[in-house]
Amino acid sequence: MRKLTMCLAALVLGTTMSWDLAAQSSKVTMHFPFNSQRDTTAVFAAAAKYAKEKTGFDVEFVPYDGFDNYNQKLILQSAAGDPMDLVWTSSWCFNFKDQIAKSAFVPLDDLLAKALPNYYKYVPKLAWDQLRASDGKIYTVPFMEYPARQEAIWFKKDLAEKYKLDVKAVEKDYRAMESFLAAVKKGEPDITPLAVGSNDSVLWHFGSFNPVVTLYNNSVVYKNNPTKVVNSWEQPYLADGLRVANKWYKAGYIRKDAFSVKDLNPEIKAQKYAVGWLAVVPNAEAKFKAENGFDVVIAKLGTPEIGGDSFAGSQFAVSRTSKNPANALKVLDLLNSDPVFYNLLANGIEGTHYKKVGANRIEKIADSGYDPNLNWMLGNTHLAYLLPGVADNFVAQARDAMNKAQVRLYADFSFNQESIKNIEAAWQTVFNEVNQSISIGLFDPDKDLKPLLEKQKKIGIDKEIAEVQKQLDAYLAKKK
Amino acid sequence: MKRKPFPWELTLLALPALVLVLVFAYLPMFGIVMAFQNFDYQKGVLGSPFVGLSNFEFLFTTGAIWSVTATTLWLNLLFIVTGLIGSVVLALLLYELTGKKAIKVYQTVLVYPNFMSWIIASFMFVTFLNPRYGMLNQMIGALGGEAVAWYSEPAYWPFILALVSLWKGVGMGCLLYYAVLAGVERDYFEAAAIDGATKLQTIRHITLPFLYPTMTILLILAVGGIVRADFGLFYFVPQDSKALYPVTDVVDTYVFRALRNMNEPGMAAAAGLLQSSVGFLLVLGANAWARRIDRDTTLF
Amino acid sequence: MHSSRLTRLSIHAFFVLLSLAMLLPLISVITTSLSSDVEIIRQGGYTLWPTSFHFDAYALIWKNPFQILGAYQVTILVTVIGTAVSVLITAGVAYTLARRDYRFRKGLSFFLFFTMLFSGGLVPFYILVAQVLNWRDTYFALIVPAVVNVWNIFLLRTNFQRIPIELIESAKMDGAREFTILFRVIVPVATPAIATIAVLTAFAYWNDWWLGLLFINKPDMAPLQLLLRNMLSNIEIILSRMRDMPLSLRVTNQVPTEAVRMAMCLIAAGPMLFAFPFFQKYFVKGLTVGAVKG
Repeated sequence: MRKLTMCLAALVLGTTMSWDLAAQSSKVTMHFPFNSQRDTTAVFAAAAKYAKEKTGFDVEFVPYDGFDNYNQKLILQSAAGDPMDLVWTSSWCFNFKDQIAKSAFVPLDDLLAKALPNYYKYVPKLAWDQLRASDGKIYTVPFMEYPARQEAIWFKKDLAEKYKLDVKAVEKDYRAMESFLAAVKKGEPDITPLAVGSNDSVLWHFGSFNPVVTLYNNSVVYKNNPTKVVNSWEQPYLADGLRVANKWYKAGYIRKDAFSVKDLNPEIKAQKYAVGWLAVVPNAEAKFKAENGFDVVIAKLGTPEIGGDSFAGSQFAVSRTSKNPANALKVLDLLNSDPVFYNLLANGIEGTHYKKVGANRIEKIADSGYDPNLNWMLGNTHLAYLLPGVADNFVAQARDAMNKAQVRLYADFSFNQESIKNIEAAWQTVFNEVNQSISIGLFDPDKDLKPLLEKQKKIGIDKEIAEVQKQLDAYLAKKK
Repeated sequence: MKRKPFPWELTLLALPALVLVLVFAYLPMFGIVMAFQNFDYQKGVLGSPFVGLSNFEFLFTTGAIWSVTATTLWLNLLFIVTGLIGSVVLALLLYELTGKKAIKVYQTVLVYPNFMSWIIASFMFVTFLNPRYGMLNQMIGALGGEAVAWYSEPAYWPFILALVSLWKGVGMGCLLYYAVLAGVERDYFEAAAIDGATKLQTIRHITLPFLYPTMTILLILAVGGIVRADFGLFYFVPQDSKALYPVTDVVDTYVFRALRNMNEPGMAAAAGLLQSSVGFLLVLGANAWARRIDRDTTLF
Repeated sequence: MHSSRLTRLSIHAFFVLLSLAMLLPLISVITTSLSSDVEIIRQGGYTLWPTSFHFDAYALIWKNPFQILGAYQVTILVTVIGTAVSVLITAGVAYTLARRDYRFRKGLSFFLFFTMLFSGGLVPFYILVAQVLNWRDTYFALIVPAVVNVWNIFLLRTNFQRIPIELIESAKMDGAREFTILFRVIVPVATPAIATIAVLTAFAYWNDWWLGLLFINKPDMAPLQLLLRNMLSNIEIILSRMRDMPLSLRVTNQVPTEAVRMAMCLIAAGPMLFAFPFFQKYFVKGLTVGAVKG
């Protein structure tokens, strides 16, 4: 008897998985991470009213407190088929590729021109192309910010001057800073030369110097031989990089206990480091000083590029459970082309939460009850009113930087990992064992690389390389 | 033979709990099939394709699962033993005391760590173990010793973990056993004293037997969880430091790290199912063993 | 029988030392919540006693008190109601299972125990509570799924089993029904055990963020531990995924200082520290109530 009821119950529950809860078709729900504000309700009500006037839809904003919270909840809601319309997604929180692989989003190709007319035109074609999934369809609407990506190294200015650092030489080859590191190590007992923690790696940042482009985990192609996929761990450039990091670690330029440093910022602010990393943005030096309280000189590495997270850092998608994807996109279009709507959500109500001090420039009112810092998330940050410290021509600068930047090779190649999921999971466990020691330079390539390669073989890394090669060949054939 | 009437009243008393368990634990169990599926949101549990055992593969390809399981087993065993001895000894000692105020204070202090989450606990211990700013190294430095990079020295960690686990759990355990003793009339022990038994004899032959049923049940329950590790203890307290993996990587953290960057409900379900099954077999064994010793203290 | 004065004094000494050792981590958290990150680094490390007092962390948290006050309200309500309901239901089923003459004893024990090991996973559970029962953003979602804790049932059952069957038999002779026996005969004898279960349950409700994470989204329905957890896990994701974030989000200042994290920990845990001695009344009472006549 119990078995019977169980089976029945399972059946009932099972069918609800595909059973959509009734939702009004004129309502659009929008889900995104947020940090709770005192005036959230008032601002969202004002925004919903404005959206209703402009589009005729009732927009319901559904904020989630914090990124991790959002990530966990949305993965679950998406898997369980909760009714949702617009959902925020990205490369680093609620990963969009995973969700697309699980058919959680609606393909948008046919809708974009009709339902997202303004923003579809505003976003450059290369952004749409880079976000295409491995099946060639577009599932997400990207954000527009400052897409050009370039890594840089900061040097504490007083020390750089004291020890006569040649910044230009570092820009050509990061190894040129070695003598500076040695001098700091010798002359400044209280200061660790390199700011390295378990979350931050030497190698990642020197990646700008690498002669390859990464297509997937371990699969890379050389820029000068871009059709042959190889295993990055077998390449001399990687061993060289590891060797430098290991040498610096042994020389004491990196803390011996860097393992246990998760957050470098307090120590950076306490001026315990001489060298660290940052991403290039306009006025990077001033921004750094405002955050950390001391002057730096910056060496920019490599050339500005577009690709990777240039557009993927913040996006919106339409959930498969949406009753009317076109309506959802229309709301998104308003959000990303109407400055009033956009700034209402981003900055709150004029007079209460911010003051206008110029045609397009505002100042926030302190402790006003609404300051969520979510410009970047809504999509088109180019609509945002300018805050103190942001240049008048920020949008022009961003466009200019984007036009000048190089589009990364194969930026629009999207790998489908479905057939090698097991290898991916096994690789994660293998990589986890060495990840942190690589991050801090403890990894000795002459000793530790061979066992790693053997483990790679054991989990079937060759299958990964072959699969990437196969998909790359197909991609290249289609391009022609 | 005369059939006894159906025990309505007793069944009714048990009913609310049984219904809740049926609804919240048994109903969702159809999700176990996900371990054998390539779960697709659009198709749901009923429609997703079955893929045999391929969701289990990632656990076995590197062979690391065996060493990770060994770590889990031996550390859990260590915690169970130290926890049991610690709690019982503390309960016995506490029972020797008479001052109600003092007992109250000790109990409160012993129990408070139980409501600190592991994340909070990990912050607490960083203030001691941080290699540069931690108080332990400051103390070692003051005594003229060499600072220890705690988060990169695996040798210390079984000890540290056992200590931390004891810190968090011993108070609650002590309270459980103390509550059992508190329910026993003191005359019981007085009689023994009059018979001329020494303190240790009284404890061994009179006091401890009162605790055996609780000890057995807690042990059996603990055995069921022996292949499952307390995730927070092993992930947050060692600060996820790789250098410590040889002694701190347990099944739960291993699976978490493997699937952290992927969203694969099927693979997660597979790992969970495997742990459950092993735990289940172990408990059946433990229960049978308990039955041989004392029929009354078995779990079922 | 009580030990000699000397033995007792040495046991006291032992407990005093032990208590101090157990308290050290708590003291360090209080101290850290009152200092500044940069100061800790400059002065060379954490200390047990603050070198200077900063109340910035608390000021910052209380600047937006609406959320914390609301969270207190939710958590207290959930803890009180949840504990009461849970103890009542647990006592009922534990009594039934403790009766050796109950026909389905073994089967039901197994039925309960099985759920300690096997679970269907998150997705079906979520579908059940959020979609079928439609309990999103309600107190039901925070209370009902946690009412039954099998571990507690077995613990209480074991305690009930120690009570001599004669007590029950004689009550039955007097014509008492099972309900009456449970509440008039068993419960008074097993007060310490029931109080222990109540403490365990209250802690579990107080510390629960999991149900909140799954089913609560309205800010004014968030329990205390969920707020704390969201803050801490948010820091984790910001620190570890900084490289992939939009440039304008890579602002290190958005990571709360260590002092703020510690202050938040204390605010979340604090009330339980004060509530606990209240429960204890019952353990000490149990010393004198004991009804097991030898």
